[in-house]
This record gives sequence, structure tokens and C-alpha cells, in this order.
Amino acid sequence: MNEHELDELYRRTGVQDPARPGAAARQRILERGAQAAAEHAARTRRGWRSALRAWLARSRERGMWTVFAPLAAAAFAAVILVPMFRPAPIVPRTTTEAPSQGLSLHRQAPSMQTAPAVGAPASAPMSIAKNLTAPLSPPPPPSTVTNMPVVPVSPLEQRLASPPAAEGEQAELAASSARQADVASGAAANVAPQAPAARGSAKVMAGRPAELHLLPESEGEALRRAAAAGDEPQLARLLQAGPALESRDPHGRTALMLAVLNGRTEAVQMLLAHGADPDAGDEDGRTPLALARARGNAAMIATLENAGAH
Amino acid sequence: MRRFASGEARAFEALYRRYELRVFRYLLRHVRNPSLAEDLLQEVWFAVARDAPRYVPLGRFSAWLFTLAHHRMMDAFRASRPEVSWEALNRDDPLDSRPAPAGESPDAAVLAGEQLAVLLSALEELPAEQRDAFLLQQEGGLSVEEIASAAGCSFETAKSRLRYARTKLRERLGEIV
Repeated sequence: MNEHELDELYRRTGVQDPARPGAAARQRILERGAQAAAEHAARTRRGWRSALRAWLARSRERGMWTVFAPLAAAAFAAVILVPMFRPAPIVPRTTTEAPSQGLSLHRQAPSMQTAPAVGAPASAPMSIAKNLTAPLSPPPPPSTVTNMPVVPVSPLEQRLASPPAAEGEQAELAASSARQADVASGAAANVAPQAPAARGSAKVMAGRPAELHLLPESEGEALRRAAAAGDEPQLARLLQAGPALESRDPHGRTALMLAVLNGRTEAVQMLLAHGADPDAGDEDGRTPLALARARGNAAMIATLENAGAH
Repeated sequence: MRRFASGEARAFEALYRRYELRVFRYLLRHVRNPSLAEDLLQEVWFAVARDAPRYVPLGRFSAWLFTLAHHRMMDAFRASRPEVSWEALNRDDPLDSRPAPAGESPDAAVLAGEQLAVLLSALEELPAEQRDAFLLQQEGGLSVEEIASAAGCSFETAKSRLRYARTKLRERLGEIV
């Protein structure tokens, strides 16, 4: 008998074992669990209420400034600090186009005409704050724009710099980026330092130029994607970064389940080696081992069973 | 567990149903008394219910749960038999050298279709610490590191216990496969 046969025999006989806890014991445990859950919920609510009451009581004892000081700090942060770190507006830097009619240029004070470029922003956050608080003025004449340094701008960069495009325009943008596959990564690098807004909200993926990811991808999503695709190098990088192994997709499936579903044995081994729960089931109660058995993948079944899956 | 700690009763029920039989079998195969195993099962889950707000997910939930079960089982053993130490049960010479009764021999078990009885008999013959390591692996799905942590021993000791247990079980059960 080998190791696998021993595990299999134990599992098989374990299923045959008629020993079960009595219904009364189960009932008592579940009742205690429900009672404890109610206590935990009450404690959580009490925690918030008591913290608020304590804070108000301290405020009454020490003076109302303890109430207003945090509020004033919050207001200060909202009015002064937040605009300082807000991404600067992006304006196409061409000499031929008329200046944009966007809010940013409407608010541009005459003193800003000598600033380097409207789209170069993060270097002087205080100047942006001043800029936003300056009185509205008519847009500067085209001659002031022509004084700005001329920087070659790619079509993709112009698109990213322009206001949000309609759906049809987005499709055109994707096609345009596909045509510029060799330029895409360079364009993204070119845009990134000058346009933080574009850096945060859109990713142009090298090798997949036609696909624009307009929302940032969470670590859990990235892990599940790499596990499902069997992308071991990417998976290794993500596992080293330490994302939540047990994060789930909308169907309750973990990265391990997706790797099993797609027959990615090496990805499964990597996830198990990093501590993924081999018994974590989806919202329908299906476990990775059950899925592997349903697919008849012997190597996968052995891998999961060696990891203690049931 | 986090959902339960925040007051969701159904999360506790889901956890319980997922691990009920595994914990029960782990306890029963140690204490061999269904009534006592039920009592211990309740103690384990009462502890889970009580300690949920303090639970810190440093590792897998199953490892934490079976560590609780191991400690409850040890407490019960010491309370019921203070004159016999847990370590005293780990001498493997008396049981291992004892010939198996005729009615319990592997051949008879196979003929009677009683693989389960043979398995349980083989488990009973293991020294307690080796049986514990094997059951933590099989029922809890614990790794060697987690077994060492649960049993409070070194990695090498846990590995050695597990290896001895598996070797003895393979020798004993090999005849019925």
C-alpha cells in the first residue's frame, strides 16, 4: 500500500463511518452560535454608540473646542489639501488648436501664462491651489498658447487628454491603439508622467493594445486571472506580494477553484504551497476536489488530496 | 469567521456544517466514546462562538479549529485520567507487539467487509501522539507545520510522528487492500 492508497482508504472508510453527533448536541451548538452572534452584533453596535457618547462627554468636560477642532481640521483638509493633490487637468499641447474651453483654462490666471505647461502639473501643487482659487477670467488669446513649449503628441495621448469620449469614440480609440501596438507602451509611458489622471484610471497593456482596462484591478482579481490562465510567472509575483488568497469572485470562487476549473495543475500547486485553503468551496458548496473529480483530472485530484482536500 | 464575529449567525452555521463531522471523527477516534466526543465537540464549538471576536486569521481556519479541538481533547484526557500521562500512552511497544485478536485480523475483516473496523483498530493501536498527528492531517487537512503548532512540538518531531503513524498503518492495512 502506498501513501496515496492509505489516504484514499481513510477517506473512503471515513465516509462509511456511521458515527455522527446527536441532533441534540448539534441543536445546542447552533443555538449557542446564534446567541453568540447576537452578542457580537450587539457589542459591535454598542462599540460605536459608546465611543460616540464618550467623545461627546469628553467634549462637554473639556470645552466645545474638542468638538470643533476635528471638524475644522476636516474642513481644512477638504478645502485646501484635497485640491492640492487632485490630478491636474490635461490639455492637448498643440500650437494649431485653439485653447480648450474647459474649466481649467477658464480659471487660468494671467500669471500662469509663463508656467511650463498646463498639463505638467504635479510639480507645483500650491500653484494649482492658487489657480483654483483665482477669479474666473476669459480664456487667454491663442498667442499666449503659442508661447508654450511644443512637445510632439501622439494621437493616443491626445485621446487620453481629451474629455471622456462617447462609446463609439471609445471603440475607435481601441482600434487606434491597436494600430499603434508598437507605440502603445511608449505612449503610455509618455502620458503617465504628464497625466496622472490617465495613469490612475486607464491601463494600456503591452501586447494587448486593443483592450483598455478603465478600472484598476484589485489584487484578488489579478490573482484569480493569473490562476485561471495558468500564468505561473505572474502568479508567483502576485503570491510574493501577498494578496488575499481566499478572495472570491462574484460566484464565490477562489483563485484555487478557478485554477482547478481550468486544469492548471502547476498553478494549483503554487497556490496550495502558499497556503490556499484546499477545501474552500464556492457559493454552491462545491469544493475544488469535487470539481477536479467531476472533470476526471487524476493529476489534479492527487494534488488536492495530497494537500489534504476533502 | 469575520462575518460571524460581526454578528451573522448563518456564518456560524455554515462553518459548523462544514467541519462538524471532521472534528467529531477526530475527537471520537481519540476518546473512543461517542458521548464524550459529543461533549468535547460542544466545548470546541462553544469556544469558537466565544472567541470569534478575538480570532486573528494568521493561518487557515481549519488549523485554528483543530488546534482548539486538540487542546480540548488533551484537557479532557488529563481531567479524566490524571494518573496516566498522555506521554505514557506513547509507548508503542506494548500495543505494537501484541498479536491482533483472531476476530480482528485483517483477513477476517476483509471477509466480513469491515474495512472500517480494521482501520479503527489500527488507529487504536497507534501511540496517541502518532495517532493525533495522523488524524490532524487526515481530518483537519493540516500540514506538518500546522500539526507541529497544534501539538506544541517541533517540526521534525511532528514529521517523525506522522511518518511512523503512516508506516504502521500502511503495514497493517496493506493486507486488506
